[in-house]
Amino acid sequence: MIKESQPLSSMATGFAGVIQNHQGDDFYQGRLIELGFTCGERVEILRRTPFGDFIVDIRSAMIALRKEEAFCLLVSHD
Amino acid sequence: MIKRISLIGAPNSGKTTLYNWLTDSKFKTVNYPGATVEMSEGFTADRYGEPLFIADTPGAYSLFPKSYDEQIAVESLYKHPSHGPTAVVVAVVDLTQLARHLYIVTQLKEANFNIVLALTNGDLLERQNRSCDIEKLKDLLDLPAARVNGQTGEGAVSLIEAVRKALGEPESSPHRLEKWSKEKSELSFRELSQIANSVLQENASPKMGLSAYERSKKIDRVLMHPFWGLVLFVLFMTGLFTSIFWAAAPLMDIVNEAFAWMGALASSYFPDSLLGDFISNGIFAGVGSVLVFLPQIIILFLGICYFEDSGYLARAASLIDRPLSKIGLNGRSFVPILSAYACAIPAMMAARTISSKKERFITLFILPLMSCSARLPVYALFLSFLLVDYPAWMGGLALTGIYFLSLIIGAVASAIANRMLASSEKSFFMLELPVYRRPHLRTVLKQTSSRVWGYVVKAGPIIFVLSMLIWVGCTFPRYDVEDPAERLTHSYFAKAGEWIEPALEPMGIDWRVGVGLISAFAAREVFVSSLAIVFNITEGDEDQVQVSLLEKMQTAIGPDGGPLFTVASSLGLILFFMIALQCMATVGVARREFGNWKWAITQLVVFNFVAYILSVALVQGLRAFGIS
Repeated sequence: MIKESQPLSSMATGFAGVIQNHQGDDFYQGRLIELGFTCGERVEILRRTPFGDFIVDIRSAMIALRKEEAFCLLVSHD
Repeated sequence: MIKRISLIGAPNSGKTTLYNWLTDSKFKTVNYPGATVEMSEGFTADRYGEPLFIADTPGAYSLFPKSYDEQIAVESLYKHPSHGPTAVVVAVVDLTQLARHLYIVTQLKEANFNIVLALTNGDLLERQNRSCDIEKLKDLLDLPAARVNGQTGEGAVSLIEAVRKALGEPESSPHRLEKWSKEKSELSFRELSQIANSVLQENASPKMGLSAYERSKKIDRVLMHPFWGLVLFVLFMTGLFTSIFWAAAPLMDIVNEAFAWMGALASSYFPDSLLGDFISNGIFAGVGSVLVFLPQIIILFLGICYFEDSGYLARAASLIDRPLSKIGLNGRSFVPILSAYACAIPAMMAARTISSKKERFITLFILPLMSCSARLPVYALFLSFLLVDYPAWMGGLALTGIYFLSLIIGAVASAIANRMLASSEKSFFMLELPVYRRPHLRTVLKQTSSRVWGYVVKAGPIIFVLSMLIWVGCTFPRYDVEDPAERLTHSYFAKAGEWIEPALEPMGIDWRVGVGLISAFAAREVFVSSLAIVFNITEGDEDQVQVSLLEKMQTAIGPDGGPLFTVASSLGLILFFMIALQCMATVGVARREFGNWKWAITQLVVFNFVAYILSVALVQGLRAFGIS
């Protein structure tokens, strides 16, 4: 079954799901993968900053992502 | 050629803590040749036997750099103009982040480096009620490894042994890697996740309470709260700034008095002689103007390093990344901007962690606009002059206004620079937030002293030499005249002041203030003391000088026959000091950080020109509205 995936940036605080793919800018994609945002990995939105950026959990690490960076991660509910 | 060992690892892997332990914090911070990225170089402590030459590099996530400091970290592994390639790479890997931190290790392996793994944060892993089978990890990766604790030194001996053994191996010849495809990176991560899963075990024993990571999430519920998080951020920063002024003031008085006393002592040894004057007003005054800011700079950096080591500063940066990114900056610009309120020089050096060249450039460009501590005496003088009949809290309020305005001017300058500079470079944030921890005194002190030392070494000589020149300019050619005011009236500086007087007139000031402005190029606060000399105040301690200077300012007659210091001309001077780049020490450091004279000089010219134009506009505008 193909799960419908959406950019992480459109998800709300508390969302937890699985990274299905990457999209957008290659540079961002490359960096995200280096940081451990690989396909099949579980990602959780821990909180949003007052200005709308994301703080996420990936592989037990906390990483702050800009909205446009979170947009590059395609996720689905697990 | 001496064999070099390099520490490499992801940010927050505990690399620098381990490095401090291995070298007993005795290392030099040097620039990688030809770059403005700092690296630490030193020798392992004596207790580990024959010293090994060991370097710490900026944090890096992979061998394919995404930022300038990563690029240098990677470059330094392959070659170094004077030390050749790295003989052994010590890859620092946080056991609680095993798969993520091993990623660069697989690349190092593929590139054929001679690798030893230093496995950190084993204690944090145990707090998560897990353990790592290190022998199995060594087997699976086919690499030597040692578990170490950079705070207690546990395991350091076996790490050094493993490094010595690796040094004994035949030399490897590392080669450059072809860029990994997305698929290859994904595959590598899958393998690493498997390895991590097979070496990490859940312990049967009962849980030992919250892990550091879980605790950090809890703390963030408050510190990163959408509303309270911002309130606390503002409170922390206000607290830091207030402490700079309150706690540093008595210490600065001590420095001032000590140098005044030494100066007086020198004069009494050589009464009425040029030599005595030179020693007291040249040398001691010069050293004094370098050291008087040390208390403020030390306190600010203690605060910054404390927040940094606790894990809060990364979060503060992520809080304000968005507004800063709108004007061409980055959340990473936050620490430099904060530091610039003490002094632009260590602030410029702190800007090195900004990965994007454009963002780093804009940060460097606007840093001198932040109100550094040397401007404070100037503001204080004019505010006490303007608000002489008002309660004291008005002065405090006005000062806060000045600081706030300087932030706005900086933001405007940054937005303008952002518009003017084209860049194909990607701006990114993606900042890893470390777990909260109690700051280590040792780390905080070491970081503070290295930044403070940066100020003393970089700014000190320039300020000192300029202070000498200013003494010469104020003393000669009529050094034989007894009366200091008359001596000054005939000095080279007075001539220069008179020469530029036509340009000063639109600002509502005359050559006497001009002399002050010229001498402010050594250090801004010198403006106050040279004004005191011009207005013939020679007696009394600092407070008395301030009082008599204020009296003289009330009665001074300007070029047009009216009062010299008016509301308009005082406000004009405050505005001038807010924008003008008068600090030659900053220009010297800017040259190094920009990497060329072109931008350092541009900065100098642009800021002074804009300061002059705006100041004239303000004075003339106020006059047009009937405010003289």
